[in-house]
Amino acid sequence: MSETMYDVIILGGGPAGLTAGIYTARQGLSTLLIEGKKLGGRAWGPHRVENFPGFPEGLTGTELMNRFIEQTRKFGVEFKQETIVGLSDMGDTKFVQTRGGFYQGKAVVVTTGIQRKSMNIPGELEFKGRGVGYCAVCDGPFYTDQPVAVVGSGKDAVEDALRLADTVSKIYAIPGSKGFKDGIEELHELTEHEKIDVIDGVDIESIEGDQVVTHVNMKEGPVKKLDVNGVFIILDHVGTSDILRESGIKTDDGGCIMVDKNQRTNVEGIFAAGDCVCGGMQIVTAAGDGGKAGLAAFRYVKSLKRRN
Amino acid sequence: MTIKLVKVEVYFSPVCPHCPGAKKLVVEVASRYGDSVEVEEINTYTPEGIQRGMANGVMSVPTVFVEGEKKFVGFPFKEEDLVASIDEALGR
Repeated sequence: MSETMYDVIILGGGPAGLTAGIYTARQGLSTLLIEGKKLGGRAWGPHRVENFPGFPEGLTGTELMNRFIEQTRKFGVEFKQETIVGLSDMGDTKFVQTRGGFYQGKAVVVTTGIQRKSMNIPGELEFKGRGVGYCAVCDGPFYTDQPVAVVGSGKDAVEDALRLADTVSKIYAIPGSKGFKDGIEELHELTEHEKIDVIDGVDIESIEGDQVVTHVNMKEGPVKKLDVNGVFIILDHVGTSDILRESGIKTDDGGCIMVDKNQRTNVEGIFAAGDCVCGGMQIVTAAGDGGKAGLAAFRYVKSLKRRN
Repeated sequence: MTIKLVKVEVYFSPVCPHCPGAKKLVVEVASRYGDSVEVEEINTYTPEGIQRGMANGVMSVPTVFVEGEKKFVGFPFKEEDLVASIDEALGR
């Protein structure tokens, strides 16, 4: 765990997060920005942006985001490229967990944009911690010499299946109906491994069991039932909306984070901006709300310092 | 006056990103109870730890037991829920 206590931790590196960073770091607050994918978010890309004020000739999304990133770096924001897996509120301290580490901050600004949803396999939540797990390397030893399924189509899923093969008796690697993603170097090793069966082209219908997991049912195909004691769900990116729900941040029925006019969520010290609050879905509105969130976080951290 | 001792066990793994948070919270909360609450951290990356975990139905880390009863699997969990579990075990 990092012992550093940051003034502000920003989750997400799109226009809202980058702008929030400009505002907090420029005010002298130590600021960490965590982005699991590419800085720039949805705004990144070759599409032409012609409605962002100050650039009458227009520019590409990539060019605009590179300017955002350069400006954010200039003020000393620290960047980490890590997938966020948890956020918890412990009063004056907020804890952020990623696949690579654990960070503490006084305030958090959530700018996670629109995220991929959880797999929501029937039985997944019911058997969480009783056979369903999300960290193969953490929980693998509990399944020594037992059969397990590894669900996921990305590089992480392939790597985790290969790691587990040293411990468990049998692995069913299940990438889902669309198969494994392209360009995974270890895929050949996976398909050739004597302990691993790849169940390709079909999704899981449900995870079943009694006290603990006993098997999974497949939607179709020649194999309808797989006897396993563990199911590891290895998504490329954890559904951030689930993380937020677990941390107590209120969202509306559509999963949009609810904020007040100063971008404050219902949790003191946690702010939100950008697409995740379902505002204007524009770069300019994301940047504007990000700036407001940065200022609100600054005021909050200052009030904490006065209080303590 | 008799001081009742409650034991809190935290099963963890050194490679688990969620475990430091769970351990830290448990230790912080337990420290408020002075000698009334004892914390034991069990490393499941040791033969003894994994054996003990499996014997007690642990299937994921972090897992927290309060007075022998499995209370929390995964992290985060709420501080007030941990406090309530300890208070209940203490008979408060």
